[in-house]
Amino acid sequence: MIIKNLTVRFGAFTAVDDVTLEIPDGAIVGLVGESGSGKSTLARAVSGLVPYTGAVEGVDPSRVQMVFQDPLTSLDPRMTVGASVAEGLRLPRAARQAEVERLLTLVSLPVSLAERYPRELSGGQRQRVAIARALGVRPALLIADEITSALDVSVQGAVLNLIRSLREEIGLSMLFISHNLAVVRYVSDVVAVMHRGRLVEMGPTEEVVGAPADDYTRSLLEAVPRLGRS
Amino acid sequence: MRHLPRTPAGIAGTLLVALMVILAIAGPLIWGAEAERIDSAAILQGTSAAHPLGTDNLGRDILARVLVAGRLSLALAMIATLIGATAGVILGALPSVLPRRAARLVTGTVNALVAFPGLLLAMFTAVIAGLGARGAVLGIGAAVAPGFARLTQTLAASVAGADYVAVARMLGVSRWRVMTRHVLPNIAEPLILHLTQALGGALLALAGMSFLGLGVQPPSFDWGRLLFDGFARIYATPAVALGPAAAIALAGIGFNLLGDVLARAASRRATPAGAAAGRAVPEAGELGEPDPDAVLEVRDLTVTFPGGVTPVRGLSLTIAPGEIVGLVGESGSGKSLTASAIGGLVPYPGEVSAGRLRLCGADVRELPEAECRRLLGTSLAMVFQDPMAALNPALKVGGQLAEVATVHQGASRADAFARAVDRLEHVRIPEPATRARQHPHELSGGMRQRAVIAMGLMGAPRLIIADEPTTALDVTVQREILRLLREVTDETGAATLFISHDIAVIGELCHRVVVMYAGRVVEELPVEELASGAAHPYTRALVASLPDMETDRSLPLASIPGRQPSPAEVPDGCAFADRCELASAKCAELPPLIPYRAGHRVACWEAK
Amino acid sequence: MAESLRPSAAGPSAEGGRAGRALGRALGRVRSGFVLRRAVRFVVSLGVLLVASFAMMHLIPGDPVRASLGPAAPAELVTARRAALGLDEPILSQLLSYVSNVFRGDFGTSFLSGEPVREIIASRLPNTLGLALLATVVALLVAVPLGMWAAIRTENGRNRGTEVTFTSATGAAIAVPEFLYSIALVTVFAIGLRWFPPAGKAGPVSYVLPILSLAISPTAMIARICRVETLRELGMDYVRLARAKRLPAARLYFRHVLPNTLTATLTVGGMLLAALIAGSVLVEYVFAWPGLGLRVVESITQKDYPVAQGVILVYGAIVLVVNLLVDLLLGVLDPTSKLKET
Repeated sequence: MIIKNLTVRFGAFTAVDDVTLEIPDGAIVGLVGESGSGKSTLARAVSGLVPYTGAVEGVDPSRVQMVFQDPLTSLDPRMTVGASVAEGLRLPRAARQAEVERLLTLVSLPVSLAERYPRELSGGQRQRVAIARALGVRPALLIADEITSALDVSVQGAVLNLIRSLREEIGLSMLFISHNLAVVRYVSDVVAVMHRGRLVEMGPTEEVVGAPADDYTRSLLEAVPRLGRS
Repeated sequence: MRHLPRTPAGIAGTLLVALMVILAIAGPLIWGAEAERIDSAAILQGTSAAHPLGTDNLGRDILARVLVAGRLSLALAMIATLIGATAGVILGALPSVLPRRAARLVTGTVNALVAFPGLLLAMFTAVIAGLGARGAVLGIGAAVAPGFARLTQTLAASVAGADYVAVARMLGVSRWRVMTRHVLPNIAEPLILHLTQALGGALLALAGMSFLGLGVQPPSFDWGRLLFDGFARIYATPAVALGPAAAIALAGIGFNLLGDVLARAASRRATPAGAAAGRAVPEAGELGEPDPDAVLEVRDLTVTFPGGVTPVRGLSLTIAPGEIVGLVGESGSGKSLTASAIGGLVPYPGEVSAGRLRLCGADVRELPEAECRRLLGTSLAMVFQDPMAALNPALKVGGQLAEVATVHQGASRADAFARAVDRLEHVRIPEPATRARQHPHELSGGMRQRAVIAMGLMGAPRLIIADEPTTALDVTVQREILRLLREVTDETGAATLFISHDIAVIGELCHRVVVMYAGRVVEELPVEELASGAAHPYTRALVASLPDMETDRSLPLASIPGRQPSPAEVPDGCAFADRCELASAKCAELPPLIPYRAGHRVACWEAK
Repeated sequence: MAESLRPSAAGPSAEGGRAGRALGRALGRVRSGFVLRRAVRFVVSLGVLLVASFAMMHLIPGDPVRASLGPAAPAELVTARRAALGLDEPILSQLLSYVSNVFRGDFGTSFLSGEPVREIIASRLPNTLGLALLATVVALLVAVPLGMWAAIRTENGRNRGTEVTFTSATGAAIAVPEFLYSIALVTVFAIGLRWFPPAGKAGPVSYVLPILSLAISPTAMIARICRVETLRELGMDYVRLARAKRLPAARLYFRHVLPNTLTATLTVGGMLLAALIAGSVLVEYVFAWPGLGLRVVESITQKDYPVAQGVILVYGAIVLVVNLLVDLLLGVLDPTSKLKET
């Protein structure tokens, strides 16, 4: 699929400015940028939550799914995990139970969690529920917006591993958004960098990280904290 | 609303409302005849055994009339509330259905109406509809409606903006289903709550209208009408006004208290109570001689909250001048409370105990109050996560900095301000004199954090406690703040305690790293050994689970199964044993923090 | 209580120095369009109010003149009255002449006494305003210190007893309507103890009971809001930082916390003042206070429509003016001016 010349304006403010971005089938495209760079607005536009000009081609809009930063706010507190996951399924009632179980297993959660409420789960578990729910409609594109930012490091690894295994197992195309360049580097095949609404650089991960062409990308790379640098 | 808190107010409210309902149902059945019985022999009497509250101008018993009038008072209030609630909810829901222009018009109207006092709207309606119960009920209904409309609007807007509604829309859930499954259930509760309060309000307002003679007209009577009749005789026989007045007051108080209690129950349900058995805090060991050179020396610091919640357990820490010590741990490890305890800022009802708590060579608990304030106020600088919250939004930046100098150093206002500008310049804020005259919201996030650091530099800081100071900032800004902290430490010779969940940031900035898990220090090591020389399995897993710019992308990341025990359920033995691959039977006993190598200590039985 | 009275003593001196700068900021806001937007909203609301008060007369079922004079009145009189009121003209020209009359200060004449409504309003409005303003001042002066004191004492759930007492007492105080306070106060202090006159306006003493009746509920309500706001501010990091700086308590509470609680407190205070003006209707009725409220009740019961129309219009206009003033005041006081977007 490809995003062509996408622009989002809020009044006089241009949040996303003429962004063209291709997401190859079965690839994970990582999108990095700082607060206010427009990366989340771009995600919301592609998901159809924000009006935009330009085009999103090669994907059925109803098959774009999004996972949010804070799974506690993206799950209805009054619905059980099972009900949340089942909600988007277009299946006869009888087949739903089995499908919910399959989806929970796919994200490495015990089936017994279906009866629980979101507040009873840990942050990592909730985020996996949110992913399972998105996978239920067999999305052509999954947008992950800062999905590990609210998680502890020891849990983050499991969610990142899940993202990678999903790509390998079911060939999921994904737009993976994060402010954390190291995380984006780890999961993505292609990295795109946004700055003040514009796409300033894009290319295969190793190239962008190893030999950045843009000054802003370079300053971003410079700023990434590294364990043994001092 | 499943279980109401058993406070006296809650019980009183529930009882009063129940009493009102019973009275409304049973009152006319029991005292109906009595209330209508005319007795020409007992006209306009005061208190007597036969008529405790006296009689009216037809000799009818006022007590009976008060007990009977409950039904009409309550019924009219209910009708008015229902009219108002229905109209209000419709008005409030309209903007989310209508096209934008019309929606703005409705919203504007509602906003304008909310400002008008209910009684004014009620009088307006009463003029049109004419005197009597019908006019009053319509009027009060009109007065109740705007409040409901506003509430519905706000609630619907907040729920419609929630992530889970966005998700439902993306999943292709129909508009109708989004409304019925997600929006309505989540706004119903506050609306029902408001209904209780509105009912009480309507009852009082109707009583007021009738009391003015604008509501219920004879031969019907409600409490307000009875008060109207009684008030005319208040000079002669005050008792006749007492009954209806008390009835109105009790009804008002009942509904209000019940509404309060319901609101409280609704807001508390979200936070479950953490109850657990109390556990003995380990005895403080040998303290040894205090370290005269240390800026901070803490021994066996423990922070407890009621209910056996102990987020910090026997923590010891020494920091030398010029040293930057990183305190790292995941959420719930007790690292931030450790910072609060050192700064003397643990919120009530938390309790701090320590074998030793020395700052700049003096035990802060032994110093006289005034001296302690000065010492902490000038030698200790604190930096928090959210620089917007850490600066007072109502005061100018310069004034907030200058305060330290005027309060603790006796500087004049002008001198203090000049020093504030100087300090702002020192942390490289451009145009410091201008910035000092601005409010915090006029500064960028990075600049605000610089201003907070500058505030710490107003005194002569010996210890800087920075609690997640860069977590809310962008990486490029984070880098500048880290550099600034390092410079400040080098320059002033102050020690820094840097608290973060981000082990990479700690690794980049600090000299020494202290790893916390479940309230205890599990490892303390020089930063050089963090990447590959950590001994504790938790530290090693933490390092391995963190992707950095060199991580091999073909291998899965390490992750730690399970979760950190909450501060109420930390085991007596090694808290990490449940999640540890190396765990053995020995781990049921608490491993002490013992030297491992030079400058490296670890609390693990299995560390080799 | 002694402790709780301190802020009111410190308040004015802290406020005084700020006035000049506040004025400068207020003028700055003119450019930002804030004042303009508020002014536009005020004018629109006033227009709606005028139309509504005009419509009131026409929405009365049947003929207001006939309704007022009663079925026994001779037909000629009704016709003459209708002509005098212009009720037979086209509706639009009636509206226009109504609006232009109002702006010239002509609110018509009473059906009953023949007095010009303008004179009724001019003679009675000051009495009503005086009562409402004094009650607001009393409420604010008592409530803000009380609310802050309660917040400081009950921070983080300490002193549960104080919290329960405070919330129950204010809850009960809010729940009792002002006319019951009036009746109770009259019964005890005027009829029973004879300390104050039971009715009428005669000298400063006669103000005491009406003001008390009006101020009790608003005091409880503002104290509650003030406590909640103070508690919220006490939980903010800037308070933690101020405590880390070891500022003296007085400085912490009055200089840091108080200004941040004022926005919400004043918003509620403004709404209460508006409600208080309407609430004064009942209190005036009890104390036979020669204000607008007493008169509007009489005019409604006696179907003296021009008076009711004029007085309700004035009440509405006062509410609008009060809201405008509170908005402007908040725009000046609140530096972040969260209000600017609304």
